[in-house]
Amino acid sequence: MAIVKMKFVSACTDQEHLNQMLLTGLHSGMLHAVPATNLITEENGGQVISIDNPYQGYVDALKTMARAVGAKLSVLEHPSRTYTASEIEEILKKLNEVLGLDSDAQAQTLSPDDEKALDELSVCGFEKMNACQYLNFGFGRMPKEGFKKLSMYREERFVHHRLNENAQYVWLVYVTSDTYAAKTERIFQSLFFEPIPIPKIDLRARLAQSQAEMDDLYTYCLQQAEIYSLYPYVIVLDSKQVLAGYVREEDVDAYEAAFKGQPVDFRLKDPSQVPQCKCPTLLKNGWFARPFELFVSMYSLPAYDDFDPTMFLAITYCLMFGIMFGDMGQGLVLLIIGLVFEKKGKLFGVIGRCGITSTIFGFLFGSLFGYEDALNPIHQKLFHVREKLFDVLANSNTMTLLLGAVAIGALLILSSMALNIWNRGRHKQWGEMLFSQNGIAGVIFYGFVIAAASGFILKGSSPLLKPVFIILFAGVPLVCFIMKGAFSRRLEGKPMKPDEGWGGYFTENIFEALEILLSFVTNSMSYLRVGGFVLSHAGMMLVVMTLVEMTGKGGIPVLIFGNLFVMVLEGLIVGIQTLRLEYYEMFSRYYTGGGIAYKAFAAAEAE
Amino acid sequence: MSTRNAISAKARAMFGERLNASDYAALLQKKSVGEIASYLKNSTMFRECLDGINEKSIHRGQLEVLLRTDVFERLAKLIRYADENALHFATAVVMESEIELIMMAVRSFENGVSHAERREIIARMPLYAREYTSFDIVKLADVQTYDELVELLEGTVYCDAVKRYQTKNLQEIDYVGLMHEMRMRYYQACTAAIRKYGARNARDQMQEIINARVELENISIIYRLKKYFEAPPQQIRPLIVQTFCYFTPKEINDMIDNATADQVIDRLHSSKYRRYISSTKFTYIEHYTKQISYNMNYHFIETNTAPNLVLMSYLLLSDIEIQNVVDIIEAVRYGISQEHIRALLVY
Repeated sequence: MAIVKMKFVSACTDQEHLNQMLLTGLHSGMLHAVPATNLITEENGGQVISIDNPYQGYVDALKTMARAVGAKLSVLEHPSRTYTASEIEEILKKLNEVLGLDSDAQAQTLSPDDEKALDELSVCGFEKMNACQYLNFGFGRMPKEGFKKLSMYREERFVHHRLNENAQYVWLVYVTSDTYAAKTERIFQSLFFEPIPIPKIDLRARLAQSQAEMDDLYTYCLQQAEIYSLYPYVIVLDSKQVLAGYVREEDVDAYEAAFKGQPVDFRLKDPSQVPQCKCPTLLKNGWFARPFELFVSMYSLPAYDDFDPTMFLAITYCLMFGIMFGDMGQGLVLLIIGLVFEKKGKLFGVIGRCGITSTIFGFLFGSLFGYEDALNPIHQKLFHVREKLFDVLANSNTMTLLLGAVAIGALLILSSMALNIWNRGRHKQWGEMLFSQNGIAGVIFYGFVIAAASGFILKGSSPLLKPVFIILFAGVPLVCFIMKGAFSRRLEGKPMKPDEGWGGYFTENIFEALEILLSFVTNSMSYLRVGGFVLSHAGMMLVVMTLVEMTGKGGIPVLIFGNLFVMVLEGLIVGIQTLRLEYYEMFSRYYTGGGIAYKAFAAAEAE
Repeated sequence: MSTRNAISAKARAMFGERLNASDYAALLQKKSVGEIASYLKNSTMFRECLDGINEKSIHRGQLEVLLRTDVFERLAKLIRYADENALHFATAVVMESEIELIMMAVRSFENGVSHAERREIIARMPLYAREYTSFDIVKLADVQTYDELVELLEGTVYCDAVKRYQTKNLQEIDYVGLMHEMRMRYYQACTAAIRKYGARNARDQMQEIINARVELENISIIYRLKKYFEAPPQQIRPLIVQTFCYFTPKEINDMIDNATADQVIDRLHSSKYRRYISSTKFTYIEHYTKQISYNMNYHFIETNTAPNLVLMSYLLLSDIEIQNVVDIIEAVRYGISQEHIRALLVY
C-alpha cells in the first residue's frame, strides 16, 4: 500500500554528446521525461531546441516504398554506418528506380486481391515472362460467371491458370502464342476480362538485392528520428543541454550508471523541490492488492503526495463480492480461473482474489455449487449447530441479512470517513477534517444516528435519544456542516464573513446540509444491495437445482450449465455493483485522485 | 403469419428498397459506368451483389449481368419457401433467356457460325440460372448446324417450332415467324403455370397480367408495322398472338384493318389501360407499354397478398428497374442527354 518514491534527475551534457545522451536516456527505460516547456522559467532562462525532424520524412518514405512493393522492413541492432542527408536522398532515388516505383506498371493502383494474385504470378518471374518472344501472357481479373464459361473454349489455343478469387472475380493468367493472341484477347474481352499489366521487373529478385541496404538505412533513419523526437525534452541552459525527468529512487544509481563513459553531470532533487511539475505516480502493492490497481487507475491515480487506496479497496471489494457471491464451489472455480490466468490481465487477478472470499462466505453459508445441505455435517461438527450456520433462504434470516448488509455499509462509511480524516490531517486541511460531512463532525453525527437506530432496533428504545445527546451529537455536527466554510476560513486566519454575505451563505448551506442528511440515508440504504444479491444468488441456484431435479438423468449437464450461467451472470452483476459501491459510496468520501501515471520512455513511444 | 404470407411480405419489403426518384436523379448525373456502379454499390439495395467489384474498370455488360443475377437470385431465394407452383416463375424467367439464345444461334447459321457470334452466344448465357433451364445451354456453344440445334432441343417446348421453320436454304428462314412462335410458347408456358395455381382470384389476376403483357406487345407490333413499314393487315395479322385482355378480338382486328398508327395510340389511350397511363406525353410505344405494365404491377403488389401474384408483380417490376439502369448506362455510353433519357425511365 504505497506509492513508489521518485527523484527528479537532471542529466546535463554538451552539444556534441547530446544525441548520445538522449539515446541512452531513451533506452534506459527508467526515465519519465518532462517536456522542456514545463521546466523553463524566467529565472533559469532556459530555451527549447527548435529544429525540424527530417528523418521522420525519410522513415515515412521508406515505409511507403516498402508497402508499395510488399517488403517488410527490419530494425537492425545498429546501423552499419552513418548517412548524410544527401546520401539518404540519393539512396532513396536509386531504390525507387530499382524497384520500378516510377514506372507506369506500378503507378496503377492495385487492390489487395490484385496484389495477392500478382504475388502468386511472381513465381514465374516477371522479367522472364516479358522476355518471351513467341509466347503471349495475359493477366487480370474476370467475373466468376465469365470464368465458368472459359470451359466452353476448350478447343481454342490458350491455357489459363487461376491465381486468386473473391466473391465476384477470379484472377488468372493465360498463355497463348503470338498467332492466337488477338483471337484469345477477343474471347477474354467478351467474358469481361479486365487486364492488369504484368510488371516489367521481377520485384522479388530485386527486393532481395536491396533489402539489406533498405534495412540499414531504415535503422539509421529511425534512430535519428527517435533522437529528434526527444528534442522537445531538452532544455538549453547557456551552452549546456539538459534532459530532465523522474526516475524511481531505487533506480537512480542504475540510471546514472547507464551513462558511464559519457561526459554527463547529474543533479538530483526531491519532487517537492520542483513545484512547477507534477510528479508521476507509480503504485506498489503486494500480491493480494496488486490487481486492484486496475480499479484505482480506472477512477484516477492518486497524486504523488497522496495515499494509495488500493489495499482498502481490495479488502472491501473482496469482502462485499464474497458475501454477495457466497458459494464455496463457485468461489473455488473463480479462484482457480484467477490463478491460472493471472498473467493474462489484472482482471483475472481480481477474479482470483474474489474467489477466495466467495469460498469463505460460501462455506459459512453452507452452499456448494447450489447444494445448500452439502456442508451441513461439517457445520454441525465445527459450529455445533442443528443444521447449518446460516441458512440464506430461511424466511427468518431475511431481515437479519438485510440489516446486516446495512450494518456492513455503515461500518464501511465510517471507515471511509476515518480515512478521510486521516488524509485531510496529513494535508493540514483542518476545515475539511473537522467540520465536513466526511470529517469528525460527520463521524459524530453518523455514528450517533447509527448507534441510536441500533439500540432502537435491538432493544426497542435507545438511551441515546435524550435531548442533551441529540443536541451534542446531532445538533452540533449539523451546525458544523452549515458553518464549515466560515469556520474553515477562520482556521486559515481569514475573516469568517463570506464574500457573498451571510444571507446567501445560509440559504445555500442550509439546503446543502439537508442534502447531506439525505445522502447519509441513501448511502446507507445503498448497501442493502449486498443482502439483496445474497438472496438473488441463492434464488438463482434454487432454480438451477429445481431444473436439475426435473431433468432426472440429464441432471449433470443442467447442473454444470446452470452453475456456469449463474457464475457468469451473477459474477458480472456482483462485480459491477461492488465497484459501484466502491466508487460512489466510498471513494467519494475519502479519495480525490488526480495523479498522472509514471511512464518510462521507450523507443516505440518516442517514435 | 403463414410462410406464404411471409413471402409476399418479404417481396413487398424488397420492392420497398427499389431505386427511387432521387436514386435515378443521382444516377443520371453520373458520367461513366464506373460512377454508376459505384453509386449502385454504395447507396442502393444492389450493394450486396456488387460487393467486391472494381468500379473503376467494370464493363457495362458485366454490370448488367450482375444486376440481373441479383434479381434472379432474389427470386430463387423467395421461391424456395413458396409452393411448388412458384418454381414456374423461375422457369418463365429462364425461358426468355433461352428464346434469346436459340434465336441468336439460328441467326448465326445463316453464313456459318462465326467466332464473333459464338462469343456473343456464350457471353449471353445465364449460367447462374442453369439449374432451371429446359436444355443444357452450355452445349449451345458447340452447336454448328441447324440439325444439331434441333437435336439439342429435343424434348423441349421449342423443338417443334424450330423443326417447323427449318429450311434447306438457311438464308430463307422466317425469323419473324419463328420469333412469333417462340413468344406463343412462352405465353402458353406462363398460362399453364398460372392454371396450376389454386386461389381463383389471384389466378385470374395473374392471368390478367400475362394477357395484358401479350396484348400490349401485340399493340406495339401493330403500331410499329403501321408507323414504320406501312404494312398491310394481312402482313400484321399472322404476327398477333391470339390472347386478349382489355380489348376484344373484334377491336384488335378493327385496329389492324382500319386504324392508323396514331389512332392505335388514341385507342390505347381511351381503353381500360388509361388508368395505368401516368404520362400524357407520348414518347415511343415501348415506353408507353412499359409504363402501363409498371403501373399495373405496382397496383397489384400494393393491393394483394396472394404470394404468387405478389412474386410475379415483383419480378416484372424488378425487370423494369434493371431496364432503367441499363438505359442509363447506355445513355452514358452514347452521350445521350439527361433530359432525353429521363423521359424513358419508368418508376
